[in-house]
Amino acid sequence: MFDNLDPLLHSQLRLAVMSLLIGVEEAEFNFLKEKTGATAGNLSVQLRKLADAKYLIIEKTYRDNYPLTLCRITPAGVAAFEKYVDTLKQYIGQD
Amino acid sequence: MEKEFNYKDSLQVIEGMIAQAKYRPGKTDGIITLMWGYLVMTAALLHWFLQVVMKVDYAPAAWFLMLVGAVATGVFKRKAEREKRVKTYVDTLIAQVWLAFVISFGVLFFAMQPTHVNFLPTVMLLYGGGMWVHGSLIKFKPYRAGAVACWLGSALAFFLVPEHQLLVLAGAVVFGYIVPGHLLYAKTSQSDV
Repeated sequence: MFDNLDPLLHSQLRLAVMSLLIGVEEAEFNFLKEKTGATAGNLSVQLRKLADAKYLIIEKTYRDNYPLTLCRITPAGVAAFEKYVDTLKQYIGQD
Repeated sequence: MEKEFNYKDSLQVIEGMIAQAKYRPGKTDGIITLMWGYLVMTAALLHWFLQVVMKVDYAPAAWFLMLVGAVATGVFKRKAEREKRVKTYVDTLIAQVWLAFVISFGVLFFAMQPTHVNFLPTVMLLYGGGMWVHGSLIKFKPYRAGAVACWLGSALAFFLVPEHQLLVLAGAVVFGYIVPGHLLYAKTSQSDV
Protein backbone atom coordinates (compact mmCIF):
# COMPACT_ATOMS: atom_id res chain seq x y z
CA MET A 1 0.00 0.00 0.00
CA PHE A 2 1.46 3.33 -1.03
CA ASP A 3 1.07 6.58 0.81
CA ASN A 4 -0.41 9.42 -1.13
CA LEU A 5 1.99 12.03 -2.36
CA ASP A 6 1.49 15.41 -0.69
CA PRO A 7 -0.64 17.28 -3.28
CA LEU A 8 0.95 20.55 -2.30
CA LEU A 9 4.38 19.27 -3.25
CA HIS A 10 3.25 17.11 -6.17
CA SER A 11 3.29 20.05 -8.52
CA GLN A 12 6.24 20.74 -10.76
CA LEU A 13 6.84 24.35 -9.79
CA ARG A 14 6.21 23.98 -6.06
CA LEU A 15 8.40 20.87 -5.94
CA ALA A 16 11.13 22.73 -7.85
CA VAL A 17 11.01 25.60 -5.35
CA MET A 18 11.17 23.25 -2.38
CA SER A 19 14.05 21.29 -3.96
CA LEU A 20 15.98 24.52 -4.47
CA LEU A 21 15.36 25.70 -0.92
CA ILE A 22 16.04 22.37 0.80
CA GLY A 23 19.82 22.70 0.35
CA VAL A 24 20.26 26.42 0.98
CA GLU A 25 19.73 28.80 3.86
CA GLU A 26 17.77 31.32 1.86
CA ALA A 27 17.24 32.36 -1.74
CA GLU A 28 16.04 35.51 -3.43
CA PHE A 29 12.84 35.51 -5.43
CA ASN A 30 14.77 36.24 -8.62
CA PHE A 31 17.04 33.25 -8.02
CA LEU A 32 14.00 30.96 -7.77
CA LYS A 33 12.47 32.59 -10.85
CA GLU A 34 15.63 32.11 -12.89
CA LYS A 35 16.22 28.49 -11.84
CA THR A 36 12.62 27.35 -12.27
CA GLY A 37 11.97 29.34 -15.44
CA ALA A 38 8.58 30.36 -14.05
CA THR A 39 6.89 33.70 -14.58
CA ALA A 40 6.95 36.13 -11.66
CA GLY A 41 3.17 35.96 -11.29
CA ASN A 42 2.94 32.18 -11.24
CA LEU A 43 5.90 31.88 -8.89
CA SER A 44 4.35 34.40 -6.48
CA VAL A 45 1.11 32.42 -6.38
CA GLN A 46 2.88 29.11 -5.74
CA LEU A 47 5.17 30.62 -3.09
CA ARG A 48 2.12 31.99 -1.32
CA LYS A 49 0.52 28.52 -1.28
CA LEU A 50 3.68 27.02 0.24
CA ALA A 51 3.91 29.86 2.77
CA ASP A 52 0.24 29.39 3.74
CA ALA A 53 1.02 25.73 4.46
CA LYS A 54 3.96 26.94 6.61
CA TYR A 55 6.39 25.10 4.34
CA LEU A 56 8.40 28.24 3.76
CA ILE A 57 8.83 31.77 5.04
CA ILE A 58 8.69 34.72 2.69
CA GLU A 59 10.53 37.77 3.95
CA LYS A 60 10.04 41.10 2.25
CA THR A 61 12.89 43.49 2.84
CA TYR A 62 15.03 46.11 1.08
CA ARG A 63 18.58 46.18 -0.24
CA ASP A 64 20.01 49.47 -1.41
CA ASN A 65 16.48 50.90 -1.42
CA TYR A 66 15.21 48.18 -3.77
CA PRO A 67 12.59 45.66 -2.65
CA LEU A 68 14.03 42.24 -1.96
CA THR A 69 12.05 39.04 -1.40
CA LEU A 70 13.82 36.23 0.46
CA CYS A 71 12.49 32.70 0.84
CA ARG A 72 13.58 30.09 3.30
CA ILE A 73 12.29 26.62 4.06
CA THR A 74 10.82 25.91 7.52
CA PRO A 75 11.25 22.74 9.64
CA ALA A 76 7.68 21.80 8.63
CA GLY A 77 8.70 22.25 4.99
CA VAL A 78 11.77 20.06 5.47
CA ALA A 79 9.62 17.35 7.12
CA ALA A 80 7.04 17.52 4.31
CA PHE A 81 9.75 17.33 1.67
CA GLU A 82 11.39 14.34 3.35
CA LYS A 83 8.03 12.58 3.63
CA TYR A 84 7.39 13.30 -0.05
CA VAL A 85 10.77 11.78 -0.99
CA ASP A 86 10.11 8.72 1.21
CA THR A 87 6.76 8.19 -0.49
CA LEU A 88 8.45 8.59 -3.85
CA LYS A 89 10.88 5.83 -2.89
CA GLN A 90 7.93 3.45 -2.37
CA TYR A 91 6.85 4.07 -5.94
CA ILE A 92 10.39 3.58 -7.24
CA GLY A 93 10.66 0.33 -5.32
CA GLN A 94 7.59 -0.93 -7.14
CA ASP A 95 9.32 -0.72 -10.56
CA MET B 1 4.66 24.73 -15.50
CA GLU B 2 1.57 23.47 -13.66
CA LYS B 3 0.86 20.09 -15.22
CA GLU B 4 0.25 16.54 -14.14
CA PHE B 5 3.47 14.72 -13.70
CA ASN B 6 4.46 11.31 -12.42
CA TYR B 7 6.99 10.27 -9.80
CA LYS B 8 9.78 9.97 -12.40
CA ASP B 9 9.23 13.61 -13.31
CA SER B 10 9.30 14.42 -9.60
CA LEU B 11 12.66 12.75 -9.23
CA GLN B 12 14.04 14.66 -12.20
CA VAL B 13 12.84 17.96 -10.76
CA ILE B 14 14.31 17.22 -7.34
CA GLU B 15 17.68 16.11 -8.73
CA GLY B 16 17.89 18.99 -11.18
CA MET B 17 17.00 21.69 -8.69
CA ILE B 18 19.24 20.37 -5.91
CA ALA B 19 22.14 20.40 -8.40
CA GLN B 20 21.25 23.98 -9.37
CA ALA B 21 21.34 25.15 -5.77
CA LYS B 22 24.62 23.41 -4.92
CA TYR B 23 27.42 25.63 -3.64
CA ARG B 24 29.89 26.68 -6.29
CA PRO B 25 32.82 28.97 -5.57
CA GLY B 26 32.68 32.18 -7.56
CA LYS B 27 35.45 34.23 -9.17
CA THR B 28 35.37 36.55 -6.17
CA ASP B 29 36.51 33.75 -3.82
CA GLY B 30 39.72 33.30 -5.81
CA ILE B 31 40.23 37.06 -6.09
CA ILE B 32 39.93 37.55 -2.32
CA THR B 33 42.42 34.76 -1.58
CA LEU B 34 45.04 35.98 -4.02
CA MET B 35 44.52 39.60 -2.99
CA TRP B 36 45.28 38.68 0.65
CA GLY B 37 48.25 36.65 -0.55
CA TYR B 38 49.75 39.59 -2.43
CA LEU B 39 48.97 42.02 0.39
CA VAL B 40 50.53 39.85 3.11
CA MET B 41 53.56 39.09 0.93
CA THR B 42 54.05 42.81 0.13
CA ALA B 43 53.60 43.85 3.77
CA ALA B 44 56.00 41.16 5.01
CA LEU B 45 58.69 42.08 2.47
CA LEU B 46 58.20 45.82 3.06
CA HIS B 47 58.45 45.28 6.81
CA TRP B 48 61.63 43.28 6.33
CA PHE B 49 63.10 45.90 3.94
CA LEU B 50 62.30 48.83 6.23
CA GLN B 51 63.61 47.04 9.30
CA VAL B 52 66.68 45.23 7.99
CA VAL B 53 67.83 47.43 5.10
CA MET B 54 66.52 50.89 5.99
CA LYS B 55 66.67 50.31 9.75
CA VAL B 56 63.74 52.60 10.51
CA ASP B 57 61.52 52.47 13.60
CA TYR B 58 58.24 52.60 11.71
CA ALA B 59 58.87 49.35 9.79
CA PRO B 60 55.75 47.58 11.27
CA ALA B 61 53.64 50.32 9.66
CA ALA B 62 53.86 48.17 6.51
CA TRP B 63 51.03 46.12 8.02
CA PHE B 64 48.59 48.99 7.55
CA LEU B 65 48.23 47.43 4.09
CA MET B 66 45.94 44.93 5.79
CA LEU B 67 43.33 47.67 6.13
CA VAL B 68 43.17 47.81 2.32
CA GLY B 69 42.47 44.07 2.32
CA ALA B 70 39.73 44.38 4.93
CA VAL B 71 37.92 47.12 3.00
CA ALA B 72 38.36 45.37 -0.37
CA THR B 73 37.11 42.06 1.08
CA GLY B 74 33.95 43.79 2.29
CA VAL B 75 33.37 45.34 -1.15
CA PHE B 76 34.01 42.05 -3.01
CA LYS B 77 31.79 40.06 -0.65
CA ARG B 78 28.93 42.50 -1.01
CA LYS B 79 29.21 42.35 -4.80
CA ALA B 80 29.33 38.54 -4.78
CA GLU B 81 26.26 38.28 -2.54
CA ARG B 82 24.29 40.44 -4.94
CA GLU B 83 25.31 38.31 -7.91
CA LYS B 84 24.67 34.93 -6.28
CA ARG B 85 21.21 35.77 -4.91
CA VAL B 86 21.32 32.65 -2.78
CA LYS B 87 22.96 31.84 0.53
CA THR B 88 24.12 28.27 1.02
CA TYR B 89 25.18 26.60 4.25
CA VAL B 90 28.72 26.40 2.83
CA ASP B 91 28.75 30.21 2.41
CA THR B 92 27.80 30.59 6.06
CA LEU B 93 30.36 28.06 7.28
CA ILE B 94 33.17 29.72 5.29
CA ALA B 95 32.22 33.10 6.75
CA GLN B 96 32.24 31.59 10.25
CA VAL B 97 35.67 30.00 9.71
CA TRP B 98 37.21 33.34 8.76
CA LEU B 99 35.35 35.15 11.52
CA ALA B 100 36.89 32.66 13.94
CA PHE B 101 40.30 33.47 12.41
CA VAL B 102 39.77 37.22 12.82
CA ILE B 103 38.68 36.80 16.46
CA SER B 104 41.63 34.49 17.21
CA PHE B 105 43.97 36.97 15.51
CA GLY B 106 42.49 39.80 17.58
CA VAL B 107 43.02 37.90 20.84
CA LEU B 108 46.59 37.08 19.79
CA PHE B 109 47.25 40.69 18.77
CA PHE B 110 46.27 42.11 22.14
CA ALA B 111 47.33 39.25 24.41
CA MET B 112 50.64 38.28 22.80
CA GLN B 113 51.56 41.55 21.03
CA PRO B 114 52.98 41.52 17.46
CA THR B 115 56.48 42.13 18.81
CA HIS B 116 56.52 38.69 20.47
CA VAL B 117 58.90 36.23 18.83
CA ASN B 118 56.12 33.64 18.41
CA PHE B 119 53.52 36.04 17.00
CA LEU B 120 54.06 35.47 13.25
CA PRO B 121 54.45 31.68 13.49
CA THR B 122 51.21 31.49 15.49
CA VAL B 123 49.39 33.67 12.94
CA MET B 124 50.63 31.34 10.19
CA LEU B 125 49.23 28.38 12.13
CA LEU B 126 45.83 30.10 12.28
CA TYR B 127 46.04 31.01 8.56
CA GLY B 128 46.75 27.39 7.77
CA GLY B 129 43.78 26.22 9.82
CA GLY B 130 41.45 28.62 8.02
CA MET B 131 42.69 27.55 4.61
CA TRP B 132 42.41 23.84 5.44
CA VAL B 133 38.78 24.08 6.55
CA HIS B 134 37.91 26.46 3.67
CA GLY B 135 39.48 24.06 1.16
CA SER B 136 37.64 21.10 2.70
CA LEU B 137 34.30 22.90 2.58
CA ILE B 138 34.62 23.82 -1.10
CA LYS B 139 36.41 20.54 -1.96
CA PHE B 140 39.37 22.35 -3.51
CA LYS B 141 42.69 20.57 -2.93
CA PRO B 142 45.03 23.52 -3.72
CA TYR B 143 43.59 25.34 -0.68
CA ARG B 144 44.45 22.40 1.53
CA ALA B 145 47.92 22.22 -0.03
CA GLY B 146 48.19 25.94 0.72
CA ALA B 147 47.27 25.21 4.33
CA VAL B 148 50.12 22.70 4.53
CA ALA B 149 52.50 25.37 3.16
CA CYS B 150 51.35 27.75 5.92
CA TRP B 151 51.83 25.10 8.59
CA LEU B 152 55.31 24.19 7.29
CA GLY B 153 56.20 27.89 7.23
CA SER B 154 54.93 28.20 10.78
CA ALA B 155 56.92 25.20 12.00
CA LEU B 156 60.08 26.66 10.45
CA ALA B 157 59.40 30.18 11.69
CA PHE B 158 59.18 29.10 15.33
CA PHE B 159 62.94 28.46 15.17
CA LEU B 160 63.88 31.75 13.53
CA VAL B 161 64.36 35.36 14.58
CA PRO B 162 61.49 37.75 13.68
CA GLU B 163 63.37 39.30 10.71
CA HIS B 164 63.74 35.91 9.05
CA GLN B 165 60.19 34.96 9.99
CA LEU B 166 59.01 37.78 7.73
CA LEU B 167 60.74 36.17 4.74
CA VAL B 168 59.28 32.76 5.60
CA LEU B 169 55.83 34.33 5.86
CA ALA B 170 56.24 35.96 2.44
CA GLY B 171 57.23 32.60 0.97
CA ALA B 172 54.44 30.71 2.74
CA VAL B 173 51.73 32.98 1.38
CA VAL B 174 53.00 32.47 -2.18
CA PHE B 175 52.20 28.75 -1.89
CA GLY B 176 49.50 29.16 0.72
CA TYR B 177 47.42 31.94 -0.80
CA ILE B 178 48.66 33.31 -4.11
CA VAL B 179 48.99 30.05 -6.07
CA PRO B 180 45.71 28.52 -4.74
CA GLY B 181 43.95 31.85 -5.32
CA HIS B 182 45.09 31.97 -8.96
CA LEU B 183 44.08 28.32 -9.44
CA LEU B 184 40.60 28.91 -8.03
CA TYR B 185 40.21 32.07 -10.10
CA ALA B 186 41.21 30.16 -13.25
CA LYS B 187 38.81 27.34 -12.43
CA THR B 188 35.85 29.62 -11.76
CA SER B 189 36.63 31.72 -14.85
CA GLN B 190 36.50 28.59 -17.03
CA SER B 191 33.17 27.47 -15.62
CA ASP B 192 31.97 31.11 -15.70
CA VAL B 193 30.32 30.81 -12.29
